[in-house]
Amino acid sequence: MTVELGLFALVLALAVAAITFVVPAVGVRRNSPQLMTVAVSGTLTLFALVALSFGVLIRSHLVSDFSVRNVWENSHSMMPLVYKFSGVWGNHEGSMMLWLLILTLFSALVAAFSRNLPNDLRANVLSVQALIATAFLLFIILTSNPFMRVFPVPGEGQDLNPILQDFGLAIHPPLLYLGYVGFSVCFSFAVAALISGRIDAAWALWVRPWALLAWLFLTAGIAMGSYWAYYELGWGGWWFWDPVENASFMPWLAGTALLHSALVMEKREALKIWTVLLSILTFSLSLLGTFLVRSGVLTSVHAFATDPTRGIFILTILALFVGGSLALFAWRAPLLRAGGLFSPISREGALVFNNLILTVATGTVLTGTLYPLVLETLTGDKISVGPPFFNMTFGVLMIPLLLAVPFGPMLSWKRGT
Amino acid sequence: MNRKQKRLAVIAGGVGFIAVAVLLVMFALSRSVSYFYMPSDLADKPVGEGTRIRLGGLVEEGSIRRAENSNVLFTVTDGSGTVEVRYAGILPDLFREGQGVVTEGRFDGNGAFHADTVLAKHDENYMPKEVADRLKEDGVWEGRPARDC
Repeated sequence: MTVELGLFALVLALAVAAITFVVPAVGVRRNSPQLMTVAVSGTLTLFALVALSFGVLIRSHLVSDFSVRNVWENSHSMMPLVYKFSGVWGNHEGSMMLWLLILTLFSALVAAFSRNLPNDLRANVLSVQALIATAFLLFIILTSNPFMRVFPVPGEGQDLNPILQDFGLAIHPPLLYLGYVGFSVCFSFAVAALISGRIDAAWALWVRPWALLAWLFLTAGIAMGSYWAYYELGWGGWWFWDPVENASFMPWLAGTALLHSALVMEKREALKIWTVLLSILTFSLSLLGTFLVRSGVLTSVHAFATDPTRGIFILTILALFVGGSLALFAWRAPLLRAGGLFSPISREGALVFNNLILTVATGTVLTGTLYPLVLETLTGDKISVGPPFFNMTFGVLMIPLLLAVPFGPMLSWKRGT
Repeated sequence: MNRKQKRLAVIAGGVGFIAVAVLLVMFALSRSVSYFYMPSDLADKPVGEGTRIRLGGLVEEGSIRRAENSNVLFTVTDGSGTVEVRYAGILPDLFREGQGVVTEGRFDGNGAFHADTVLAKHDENYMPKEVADRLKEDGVWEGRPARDC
Protein backbone atom coordinates (compact mmCIF):
# COMPACT_ATOMS: atom_id res chain seq x y z
CA MET A 1 0.00 0.00 0.00
CA THR A 2 2.80 2.42 0.96
CA VAL A 3 4.51 1.63 -2.32
CA GLU A 4 1.40 2.57 -4.29
CA LEU A 5 1.40 5.84 -2.35
CA GLY A 6 4.82 6.57 -3.88
CA LEU A 7 3.54 6.02 -7.40
CA PHE A 8 0.38 7.99 -6.65
CA ALA A 9 2.47 10.93 -5.41
CA LEU A 10 4.50 10.74 -8.61
CA VAL A 11 1.43 10.87 -10.85
CA LEU A 12 0.01 13.72 -8.79
CA ALA A 13 3.38 15.48 -9.13
CA LEU A 14 3.05 15.20 -12.91
CA ALA A 15 -0.32 16.97 -12.80
CA VAL A 16 1.03 19.67 -10.47
CA ALA A 17 4.10 20.15 -12.68
CA ALA A 18 1.93 20.58 -15.77
CA ILE A 19 -0.22 23.15 -13.96
CA THR A 20 2.86 24.97 -12.63
CA PHE A 21 4.16 25.15 -16.17
CA VAL A 22 0.96 26.40 -17.84
CA VAL A 23 -0.80 28.68 -15.34
CA PRO A 24 2.06 31.12 -14.51
CA ALA A 25 2.96 31.38 -18.22
CA VAL A 26 -0.65 32.35 -18.99
CA GLY A 27 -0.54 34.70 -16.00
CA VAL A 28 2.47 36.54 -17.42
CA ARG A 29 0.73 36.87 -20.77
CA ARG A 30 -2.48 38.25 -19.23
CA ASN A 31 -0.55 40.25 -16.62
CA SER A 32 -2.53 38.61 -13.84
CA PRO A 33 -0.74 38.51 -10.44
CA GLN A 34 -3.12 35.83 -9.13
CA LEU A 35 -2.18 33.40 -11.89
CA MET A 36 1.51 34.21 -11.51
CA THR A 37 1.55 33.36 -7.79
CA VAL A 38 0.47 29.81 -8.69
CA ALA A 39 4.13 29.35 -9.68
CA VAL A 40 5.28 29.52 -6.06
CA SER A 41 2.67 27.28 -4.45
CA GLY A 42 2.81 24.87 -7.40
CA THR A 43 6.61 24.57 -7.19
CA LEU A 44 6.57 23.95 -3.44
CA THR A 45 3.80 21.34 -3.79
CA LEU A 46 5.71 19.67 -6.60
CA PHE A 47 8.80 19.36 -4.44
CA ALA A 48 6.77 17.98 -1.52
CA LEU A 49 5.17 15.31 -3.74
CA VAL A 50 8.45 14.23 -5.34
CA ALA A 51 10.13 14.14 -1.92
CA LEU A 52 7.27 11.98 -0.60
CA SER A 53 7.64 9.61 -3.54
CA PHE A 54 11.42 9.45 -3.10
CA GLY A 55 10.94 8.83 0.63
CA VAL A 56 8.66 5.88 -0.14
CA LEU A 57 11.32 4.44 -2.47
CA ILE A 58 13.99 4.84 0.23
CA ARG A 59 11.71 3.14 2.74
CA SER A 60 11.17 0.16 0.40
CA HIS A 61 14.93 -0.23 0.09
CA LEU A 62 15.62 0.16 3.81
CA VAL A 63 13.02 -2.45 4.86
CA SER A 64 14.02 -4.71 1.91
CA ASP A 65 10.54 -4.92 0.45
CA PHE A 66 11.31 -7.42 -2.34
CA SER A 67 7.80 -7.17 -3.75
CA VAL A 68 9.13 -4.02 -5.42
CA ARG A 69 11.06 -5.03 -8.54
CA ASN A 70 13.57 -2.22 -8.13
CA VAL A 71 14.45 -3.36 -4.59
CA TRP A 72 14.55 -7.04 -5.56
CA GLU A 73 16.94 -6.35 -8.44
CA ASN A 74 19.31 -4.07 -6.59
CA SER A 75 19.27 -4.92 -2.93
CA HIS A 76 19.81 -7.73 -0.45
CA SER A 77 18.44 -8.14 3.07
CA MET A 78 21.92 -8.72 4.53
CA MET A 79 23.46 -5.59 3.03
CA PRO A 80 24.73 -2.94 5.47
CA LEU A 81 22.26 -0.12 5.98
CA VAL A 82 24.40 2.48 4.21
CA TYR A 83 24.45 0.40 0.99
CA LYS A 84 20.72 -0.27 1.21
CA PHE A 85 20.33 3.49 1.33
CA SER A 86 22.81 4.44 -1.38
CA GLY A 87 21.58 1.51 -3.50
CA VAL A 88 18.40 3.56 -4.01
CA TRP A 89 20.21 5.51 -6.72
CA GLY A 90 22.63 2.73 -7.72
CA ASN A 91 20.27 1.76 -10.55
CA HIS A 92 18.56 3.46 -13.46
CA GLU A 93 15.12 4.15 -11.95
CA GLY A 94 16.42 5.37 -8.61
CA SER A 95 19.04 7.50 -10.29
CA MET A 96 16.38 9.28 -12.34
CA MET A 97 14.31 9.77 -9.17
CA LEU A 98 17.31 11.43 -7.54
CA TRP A 99 17.70 13.64 -10.63
CA LEU A 100 14.06 14.68 -10.37
CA LEU A 101 14.23 15.22 -6.61
CA ILE A 102 17.19 17.57 -6.99
CA LEU A 103 15.53 19.41 -9.88
CA THR A 104 12.40 20.07 -7.82
CA LEU A 105 14.55 20.94 -4.80
CA PHE A 106 16.27 23.67 -6.82
CA SER A 107 12.89 24.91 -8.10
CA ALA A 108 11.63 25.08 -4.51
CA LEU A 109 14.75 26.97 -3.43
CA VAL A 110 14.22 29.47 -6.25
CA ALA A 111 10.58 29.87 -5.20
CA ALA A 112 11.58 30.43 -1.58
CA PHE A 113 14.48 32.83 -2.18
CA SER A 114 13.19 34.97 -5.02
CA ARG A 115 10.86 37.39 -3.28
CA ASN A 116 12.83 40.38 -4.54
CA LEU A 117 12.52 39.25 -8.16
CA PRO A 118 10.08 40.98 -10.52
CA ASN A 119 6.84 39.01 -10.50
CA ASP A 120 6.84 38.09 -14.17
CA LEU A 121 10.48 36.94 -14.21
CA ARG A 122 9.86 34.76 -11.16
CA ALA A 123 6.74 33.24 -12.73
CA ASN A 124 8.54 32.53 -16.00
CA VAL A 125 11.56 30.96 -14.29
CA LEU A 126 9.42 28.65 -12.17
CA SER A 127 7.27 27.82 -15.19
CA VAL A 128 10.32 26.69 -17.19
CA GLN A 129 11.58 24.67 -14.21
CA ALA A 130 8.16 22.99 -14.04
CA LEU A 131 8.36 22.17 -17.75
CA ILE A 132 11.67 20.36 -17.22
CA ALA A 133 10.12 18.51 -14.27
CA THR A 134 7.11 17.56 -16.41
CA ALA A 135 9.35 16.03 -19.08
CA PHE A 136 11.33 13.98 -16.58
CA LEU A 137 8.23 12.93 -14.63
CA LEU A 138 6.76 11.62 -17.89
CA PHE A 139 10.02 9.81 -18.56
CA ILE A 140 10.05 8.16 -15.14
CA ILE A 141 6.36 7.22 -15.09
CA LEU A 142 6.28 5.89 -18.67
CA THR A 143 9.65 4.15 -18.97
CA SER A 144 11.36 3.87 -15.60
CA ASN A 145 8.75 3.32 -12.91
CA PRO A 146 10.65 2.45 -9.74
CA PHE A 147 7.50 1.20 -8.00
CA MET A 148 6.84 -1.78 -10.30
CA ARG A 149 5.75 -4.81 -8.28
CA VAL A 150 6.88 -8.37 -8.75
CA PHE A 151 4.75 -11.43 -8.02
CA PRO A 152 5.23 -13.96 -6.51
CA VAL A 153 7.33 -12.02 -4.00
CA PRO A 154 10.93 -13.30 -4.02
CA GLY A 155 12.42 -14.27 -0.69
CA GLU A 156 15.75 -12.58 -1.27
CA GLY A 157 17.09 -9.77 -3.44
CA GLN A 158 19.60 -10.11 -6.28
CA ASP A 159 22.09 -7.87 -4.53
CA LEU A 160 23.66 -4.58 -5.54
CA ASN A 161 26.53 -4.75 -8.03
CA PRO A 162 29.51 -5.37 -5.70
CA ILE A 163 31.57 -2.64 -7.35
CA LEU A 164 28.92 -0.12 -6.26
CA GLN A 165 28.96 -1.26 -2.64
CA ASP A 166 31.19 1.58 -1.69
CA PHE A 167 30.77 4.73 0.31
CA GLY A 168 31.51 6.63 -2.91
CA LEU A 169 28.04 5.74 -4.17
CA ALA A 170 26.48 7.42 -1.13
CA ILE A 171 28.00 10.83 -1.88
CA HIS A 172 29.26 10.99 -5.46
CA PRO A 173 25.93 10.86 -7.40
CA PRO A 174 24.04 13.30 -5.14
CA LEU A 175 26.89 15.85 -5.33
CA LEU A 176 27.19 15.44 -9.08
CA TYR A 177 23.45 15.85 -9.60
CA LEU A 178 23.30 18.88 -7.30
CA GLY A 179 25.90 20.26 -9.67
CA TYR A 180 24.54 19.59 -13.07
CA VAL A 181 20.88 19.76 -12.30
CA GLY A 182 21.62 23.00 -10.46
CA PHE A 183 22.48 24.60 -13.79
CA SER A 184 18.82 24.14 -14.74
CA VAL A 185 18.15 27.31 -12.71
CA CYS A 186 20.51 29.32 -14.94
CA PHE A 187 18.82 27.78 -17.97
CA SER A 188 15.36 28.76 -16.72
CA PHE A 189 16.53 32.31 -15.96
CA ALA A 190 17.96 32.55 -19.49
CA VAL A 191 14.76 31.29 -21.11
CA ALA A 192 12.68 33.61 -18.92
CA ALA A 193 14.84 36.57 -19.98
CA LEU A 194 14.41 35.62 -23.63
CA ILE A 195 10.64 35.32 -23.24
CA SER A 196 10.36 38.76 -21.68
CA GLY A 197 12.95 40.26 -24.04
CA ARG A 198 14.41 42.29 -21.17
CA ILE A 199 17.73 41.73 -19.49
CA ASP A 200 20.03 43.89 -17.38
CA ALA A 201 22.87 43.68 -14.88
CA ALA A 202 20.43 42.68 -12.11
CA TRP A 203 19.68 39.48 -14.03
CA ALA A 204 23.34 38.46 -13.68
CA LEU A 205 23.23 39.41 -10.01
CA TRP A 206 20.37 36.91 -9.48
CA VAL A 207 21.83 34.16 -11.64
CA ARG A 208 25.41 34.21 -10.41
CA PRO A 209 24.79 32.73 -6.93
CA TRP A 210 22.90 29.80 -8.49
CA ALA A 211 25.65 29.22 -11.02
CA LEU A 212 28.22 29.38 -8.24
CA LEU A 213 26.26 26.93 -6.06
CA ALA A 214 25.84 24.45 -8.92
CA TRP A 215 29.49 24.86 -9.90
CA LEU A 216 30.68 24.17 -6.33
CA PHE A 217 28.63 20.97 -6.10
CA LEU A 218 29.71 19.84 -9.55
CA THR A 219 33.36 20.44 -8.68
CA ALA A 220 32.99 18.46 -5.44
CA GLY A 221 31.09 15.71 -7.27
CA ILE A 222 33.73 15.34 -9.97
CA ALA A 223 36.53 15.40 -7.40
CA MET A 224 34.75 12.73 -5.34
CA GLY A 225 34.16 10.58 -8.43
CA SER A 226 37.78 10.99 -9.39
CA TYR A 227 38.91 9.82 -5.95
CA TRP A 228 36.55 6.83 -6.11
CA ALA A 229 37.80 5.85 -9.60
CA TYR A 230 41.35 6.18 -8.30
CA TYR A 231 41.02 3.52 -5.61
CA GLU A 232 38.68 1.28 -7.60
CA LEU A 233 40.88 -1.00 -9.70
CA GLY A 234 39.92 -1.16 -13.35
CA TRP A 235 38.25 2.25 -13.52
CA GLY A 236 41.23 3.78 -15.22
CA GLY A 237 42.66 5.86 -12.38
CA TRP A 238 41.69 9.30 -11.20
CA TRP A 239 40.98 10.68 -14.67
CA PHE A 240 40.64 8.53 -17.74
CA TRP A 241 38.77 10.73 -20.26
CA ASP A 242 36.06 8.11 -20.19
CA PRO A 243 32.78 9.23 -21.85
CA VAL A 244 30.99 9.26 -18.51
CA GLU A 245 33.70 11.41 -16.96
CA ASN A 246 33.53 13.76 -19.94
CA ALA A 247 29.75 13.93 -19.57
CA SER A 248 30.19 15.62 -16.20
CA PHE A 249 33.26 17.60 -17.24
CA MET A 250 31.62 19.41 -20.19
CA PRO A 251 28.96 21.17 -18.05
CA TRP A 252 31.76 22.01 -15.62
CA LEU A 253 33.82 23.72 -18.33
CA ALA A 254 30.81 25.60 -19.71
CA GLY A 255 29.68 26.43 -16.16
CA THR A 256 33.12 27.86 -15.36
CA ALA A 257 32.86 30.06 -18.45
CA LEU A 258 29.35 31.09 -17.37
CA LEU A 259 30.54 32.15 -13.90
CA HIS A 260 33.07 34.46 -15.50
CA SER A 261 30.85 35.97 -18.17
CA ALA A 262 28.05 36.55 -15.62
CA LEU A 263 30.60 38.54 -13.63
CA VAL A 264 31.30 40.80 -16.61
CA MET A 265 27.59 41.25 -17.12
CA GLU A 266 26.93 42.08 -13.48
CA LYS A 267 29.75 44.63 -13.20
CA ARG A 268 29.78 46.13 -16.67
CA GLU A 269 26.51 45.19 -18.42
CA ALA A 270 28.51 43.68 -21.27
CA LEU A 271 28.38 40.16 -22.76
CA LYS A 272 24.64 39.89 -22.09
CA ILE A 273 23.68 37.80 -25.08
CA TRP A 274 26.71 35.60 -24.66
CA THR A 275 25.88 34.95 -20.99
CA VAL A 276 22.34 33.95 -21.89
CA LEU A 277 23.67 31.57 -24.54
CA LEU A 278 26.17 30.05 -22.10
CA SER A 279 23.40 29.47 -19.55
CA ILE A 280 21.48 27.53 -22.18
CA LEU A 281 24.54 25.61 -23.35
CA THR A 282 25.64 24.63 -19.86
CA PHE A 283 22.35 22.98 -18.99
CA SER A 284 22.12 21.49 -22.49
CA LEU A 285 25.44 19.78 -21.80
CA SER A 286 24.00 18.53 -18.50
CA LEU A 287 21.07 17.04 -20.41
CA LEU A 288 23.46 15.58 -22.97
CA GLY A 289 25.42 14.04 -20.11
CA THR A 290 22.24 12.52 -18.69
CA PHE A 291 21.47 11.10 -22.12
CA LEU A 292 24.96 9.65 -22.65
CA VAL A 293 25.07 8.05 -19.21
CA ARG A 294 21.49 6.79 -19.05
CA SER A 295 21.05 5.52 -22.60
CA GLY A 296 24.20 3.42 -22.75
CA VAL A 297 25.03 4.53 -26.31
CA LEU A 298 28.62 5.06 -25.28
CA THR A 299 30.75 2.42 -23.66
CA SER A 300 32.21 3.39 -20.37
CA VAL A 301 34.41 1.67 -17.82
CA HIS A 302 32.09 2.68 -15.03
CA ALA A 303 29.29 0.41 -13.94
CA PHE A 304 25.89 1.63 -15.04
CA ALA A 305 22.64 -0.14 -15.54
CA THR A 306 21.51 0.94 -18.97
CA ASP A 307 18.67 0.24 -21.33
CA PRO A 308 18.92 1.54 -24.91
CA THR A 309 15.14 1.77 -25.43
CA ARG A 310 14.96 4.51 -22.83
CA GLY A 311 17.64 6.40 -24.73
CA ILE A 312 15.14 7.46 -27.39
CA PHE A 313 12.93 9.12 -24.79
CA ILE A 314 15.79 11.10 -23.23
CA LEU A 315 17.06 11.96 -26.70
CA THR A 316 13.63 13.43 -27.46
CA ILE A 317 13.69 15.45 -24.23
CA LEU A 318 17.21 16.60 -25.11
CA ALA A 319 16.23 17.60 -28.64
CA LEU A 320 13.12 19.47 -27.48
CA PHE A 321 14.87 21.45 -24.75
CA VAL A 322 18.10 22.21 -26.59
CA GLY A 323 16.37 22.84 -29.93
CA GLY A 324 13.56 24.82 -28.34
CA SER A 325 15.79 27.04 -26.23
CA LEU A 326 18.24 27.68 -29.07
CA ALA A 327 15.38 28.53 -31.43
CA LEU A 328 14.01 30.92 -28.82
CA PHE A 329 17.51 32.38 -28.50
CA ALA A 330 17.85 32.89 -32.25
CA TRP A 331 14.44 34.58 -32.35
CA ARG A 332 14.62 36.77 -29.25
CA ALA A 333 18.31 37.49 -28.61
CA PRO A 334 18.46 40.35 -31.16
CA LEU A 335 15.92 42.17 -28.95
CA LEU A 336 18.41 42.33 -26.08
CA ARG A 337 20.42 45.53 -26.28
CA ALA A 338 24.18 45.26 -26.66
CA GLY A 339 26.15 46.24 -23.57
CA GLY A 340 29.06 48.45 -22.58
CA LEU A 341 32.32 49.02 -24.40
CA PHE A 342 35.73 47.91 -23.20
CA SER A 343 39.23 47.81 -24.58
CA PRO A 344 40.72 44.40 -25.49
CA ILE A 345 43.35 44.66 -22.75
CA SER A 346 41.18 45.01 -19.68
CA ARG A 347 39.53 42.78 -17.08
CA GLU A 348 36.62 42.26 -19.47
CA GLY A 349 38.97 41.48 -22.34
CA ALA A 350 40.75 38.88 -20.21
CA LEU A 351 37.43 37.31 -19.24
CA VAL A 352 36.41 37.13 -22.90
CA PHE A 353 39.72 35.34 -23.55
CA ASN A 354 38.94 32.96 -20.68
CA ASN A 355 35.49 32.28 -22.14
CA LEU A 356 36.88 31.69 -25.62
CA ILE A 357 39.37 29.11 -24.38
CA LEU A 358 36.90 27.34 -22.09
CA THR A 359 34.19 27.03 -24.73
CA VAL A 360 36.59 25.87 -27.44
CA ALA A 361 38.02 23.34 -24.97
CA THR A 362 34.46 22.17 -24.23
CA GLY A 363 34.05 21.74 -27.99
CA THR A 364 37.11 19.49 -28.24
CA VAL A 365 35.93 17.34 -25.32
CA LEU A 366 32.51 17.10 -26.98
CA THR A 367 34.11 16.05 -30.28
CA GLY A 368 36.26 13.41 -28.62
CA THR A 369 33.28 12.07 -26.69
CA LEU A 370 30.85 11.86 -29.60
CA TYR A 371 33.30 10.88 -32.38
CA PRO A 372 33.28 7.13 -31.59
CA LEU A 373 29.47 7.20 -31.60
CA VAL A 374 29.30 8.98 -34.97
CA LEU A 375 31.95 6.73 -36.52
CA GLU A 376 30.26 3.56 -35.29
CA THR A 377 26.92 4.72 -36.71
CA LEU A 378 28.46 5.60 -40.08
CA THR A 379 31.02 2.83 -40.63
CA GLY A 380 30.46 0.25 -37.88
CA ASP A 381 34.08 0.59 -36.71
CA LYS A 382 34.44 0.49 -32.96
CA ILE A 383 37.11 2.82 -31.72
CA SER A 384 38.00 4.44 -28.47
CA VAL A 385 39.20 7.98 -28.12
CA GLY A 386 41.36 8.00 -25.04
CA PRO A 387 43.85 10.08 -23.10
CA PRO A 388 46.30 10.61 -26.03
CA PHE A 389 43.61 12.50 -27.98
CA PHE A 390 42.63 14.72 -25.06
CA ASN A 391 46.23 15.40 -24.04
CA MET A 392 46.96 16.51 -27.59
CA THR A 393 43.93 18.80 -27.90
CA PHE A 394 42.54 19.81 -24.52
CA GLY A 395 45.97 19.79 -22.92
CA VAL A 396 47.44 22.10 -25.55
CA LEU A 397 44.46 24.50 -25.43
CA MET A 398 44.80 24.87 -21.67
CA ILE A 399 48.36 26.22 -21.94
CA PRO A 400 47.39 29.80 -22.92
CA LEU A 401 44.73 29.77 -20.20
CA LEU A 402 47.21 28.75 -17.53
CA LEU A 403 49.64 31.41 -18.76
CA ALA A 404 46.96 34.10 -18.62
CA VAL A 405 45.39 33.14 -15.28
CA PRO A 406 47.97 34.89 -13.04
CA PHE A 407 47.60 38.20 -14.90
CA GLY A 408 43.83 38.39 -15.49
CA PRO A 409 42.87 39.50 -11.97
CA MET A 410 45.55 42.25 -12.04
CA LEU A 411 43.90 44.04 -14.95
CA SER A 412 41.45 46.80 -14.17
CA TRP A 413 37.92 47.04 -15.52
CA LYS A 414 37.22 48.86 -18.75
CA ARG A 415 40.84 49.60 -19.68
CA GLY A 416 44.03 48.14 -18.28
CA THR A 417 47.27 50.05 -18.55
CA MET B 1 40.00 51.72 -32.16
CA ASN B 2 36.34 52.25 -32.72
CA ARG B 3 33.64 49.77 -31.89
CA LYS B 4 33.68 48.11 -35.28
CA GLN B 5 37.44 47.59 -35.34
CA LYS B 6 37.43 46.20 -31.82
CA ARG B 7 34.68 43.77 -32.68
CA LEU B 8 36.60 42.72 -35.79
CA ALA B 9 39.77 42.15 -33.75
CA VAL B 10 37.86 40.01 -31.24
CA ILE B 11 36.21 37.99 -34.00
CA ALA B 12 39.52 37.50 -35.86
CA GLY B 13 41.21 36.37 -32.65
CA GLY B 14 38.36 33.99 -31.87
CA VAL B 15 38.27 32.50 -35.36
CA GLY B 16 42.05 32.05 -35.31
CA PHE B 17 41.88 30.25 -31.97
CA ILE B 18 39.05 28.00 -33.14
CA ALA B 19 40.99 27.18 -36.34
CA VAL B 20 43.96 26.07 -34.24
CA ALA B 21 41.64 23.93 -32.12
CA VAL B 22 40.05 22.31 -35.19
CA LEU B 23 43.47 21.49 -36.64
CA LEU B 24 44.55 19.99 -33.33
CA VAL B 25 41.41 17.87 -33.14
CA MET B 26 41.84 16.58 -36.70
CA PHE B 27 45.49 15.82 -36.14
CA ALA B 28 44.77 14.05 -32.87
CA LEU B 29 41.91 12.01 -34.31
CA SER B 30 44.12 10.78 -37.14
CA ARG B 31 46.87 9.76 -34.73
CA SER B 32 45.57 8.70 -31.39
CA VAL B 33 42.35 6.73 -31.58
CA SER B 34 42.58 3.02 -30.87
CA TYR B 35 40.46 0.48 -32.67
CA PHE B 36 38.59 -2.31 -30.96
CA TYR B 37 39.47 -5.88 -31.95
CA MET B 38 38.34 -9.32 -30.94
CA PRO B 39 40.75 -12.26 -31.31
CA SER B 40 39.13 -13.59 -34.52
CA ASP B 41 39.45 -10.16 -36.21
CA LEU B 42 43.21 -10.39 -35.96
CA ALA B 43 43.32 -13.33 -38.41
CA ASP B 44 41.58 -11.24 -41.13
CA LYS B 45 43.30 -7.95 -40.58
CA PRO B 46 46.55 -8.26 -38.69
CA VAL B 47 47.60 -5.36 -36.50
CA GLY B 48 51.09 -3.98 -36.99
CA GLU B 49 53.71 -4.22 -34.29
CA GLY B 50 53.47 -1.33 -31.84
CA THR B 51 49.99 -0.13 -32.87
CA ARG B 52 47.88 0.54 -29.83
CA ILE B 53 44.57 -1.33 -29.86
CA ARG B 54 41.80 -2.39 -27.55
CA LEU B 55 41.41 -6.14 -27.38
CA GLY B 56 38.23 -7.62 -25.98
CA GLY B 57 36.66 -11.02 -25.44
CA LEU B 58 36.14 -13.63 -22.78
CA VAL B 59 38.88 -14.72 -20.41
CA GLU B 60 39.35 -18.40 -21.30
CA GLU B 61 38.63 -20.85 -18.47
CA GLY B 62 41.78 -22.13 -16.82
CA SER B 63 44.06 -19.83 -18.77
CA ILE B 64 45.25 -17.49 -16.03
CA ARG B 65 48.88 -18.10 -15.15
CA ARG B 66 50.98 -16.01 -12.83
CA ALA B 67 54.66 -15.49 -13.61
CA GLU B 68 57.39 -13.78 -11.57
CA ASN B 69 57.35 -10.00 -10.89
CA SER B 70 53.56 -9.93 -10.64
CA ASN B 71 53.25 -10.69 -14.35
CA VAL B 72 50.00 -12.32 -15.36
CA LEU B 73 49.28 -14.27 -18.52
CA PHE B 74 45.80 -15.11 -19.69
CA THR B 75 44.03 -15.98 -22.91
CA VAL B 76 41.31 -13.86 -24.46
CA THR B 77 38.92 -15.79 -26.67
CA ASP B 78 35.80 -15.12 -28.71
CA GLY B 79 35.03 -18.72 -29.57
CA SER B 80 36.87 -18.78 -32.91
CA GLY B 81 40.19 -17.16 -32.09
CA THR B 82 42.46 -16.70 -29.11
CA VAL B 83 45.17 -14.25 -28.13
CA GLU B 84 47.51 -14.62 -25.21
CA VAL B 85 47.79 -11.44 -23.18
CA ARG B 86 50.65 -10.48 -20.88
CA TYR B 87 49.99 -7.95 -18.19
CA ALA B 88 52.13 -6.64 -15.36
CA GLY B 89 50.11 -5.27 -12.51
CA ILE B 90 47.13 -5.84 -10.30
CA LEU B 91 43.99 -7.11 -11.97
CA PRO B 92 40.60 -5.52 -11.20
CA ASP B 93 38.53 -7.16 -8.46
CA LEU B 94 35.96 -8.39 -10.93
CA PHE B 95 38.40 -10.02 -13.34
CA ARG B 96 37.26 -13.65 -13.63
CA GLU B 97 37.74 -16.59 -15.94
CA GLY B 98 34.77 -16.98 -18.27
CA GLN B 99 33.83 -13.31 -18.02
CA GLY B 100 34.21 -10.50 -20.50
CA VAL B 101 37.30 -8.32 -20.47
CA VAL B 102 38.72 -5.36 -22.37
CA THR B 103 42.47 -4.75 -22.45
CA GLU B 104 44.58 -2.05 -24.05
CA GLY B 105 48.07 -2.55 -25.34
CA ARG B 106 50.36 -3.42 -28.24
CA PHE B 107 51.79 -6.47 -30.02
CA ASP B 108 55.55 -6.89 -29.81
CA GLY B 109 57.77 -8.26 -32.60
CA ASN B 110 57.12 -11.88 -31.57
CA GLY B 111 53.36 -11.61 -31.80
CA ALA B 112 52.78 -11.48 -28.05
CA PHE B 113 50.23 -8.96 -26.81
CA HIS B 114 51.40 -6.73 -23.97
CA ALA B 115 48.51 -5.05 -22.18
CA ASP B 116 49.16 -1.95 -20.13
CA THR B 117 45.55 -1.59 -18.98
CA VAL B 118 42.91 -4.13 -18.04
CA LEU B 119 39.50 -2.56 -17.61
CA ALA B 120 36.70 -3.69 -15.34
CA LYS B 121 34.44 -2.53 -18.10
CA HIS B 122 31.11 -4.13 -17.77
CA ASP B 123 27.43 -3.81 -17.07
CA GLU B 124 25.35 -5.76 -14.59
CA ASN B 125 25.89 -8.93 -16.66
CA TYR B 126 29.65 -8.57 -16.12
CA MET B 127 30.04 -8.12 -19.86
CA PRO B 128 31.60 -5.11 -21.62
CA LYS B 129 29.26 -3.64 -24.22
CA GLU B 130 31.53 -4.09 -27.27
CA VAL B 131 32.22 -7.68 -26.28
CA ALA B 132 28.56 -8.41 -25.58
CA ASP B 133 27.46 -6.98 -28.95
CA ARG B 134 29.92 -9.10 -30.87
CA LEU B 135 29.41 -12.31 -28.91
CA LYS B 136 25.68 -12.00 -29.50
CA GLU B 137 26.23 -11.43 -33.23
CA ASP B 138 28.43 -14.51 -33.43
CA GLY B 139 26.00 -16.53 -31.31
CA VAL B 140 28.64 -17.41 -28.71
CA TRP B 141 26.78 -15.85 -25.81
CA GLU B 142 23.12 -14.97 -25.42
CA GLY B 143 23.27 -12.65 -22.47
CA ARG B 144 21.35 -13.08 -19.31
CA PRO B 145 17.83 -14.24 -20.17
CA ALA B 146 15.54 -11.23 -20.44
CA ARG B 147 13.66 -10.60 -17.25
CA ASP B 148 9.95 -11.13 -17.55
CA CYS B 149 7.91 -8.06 -16.83
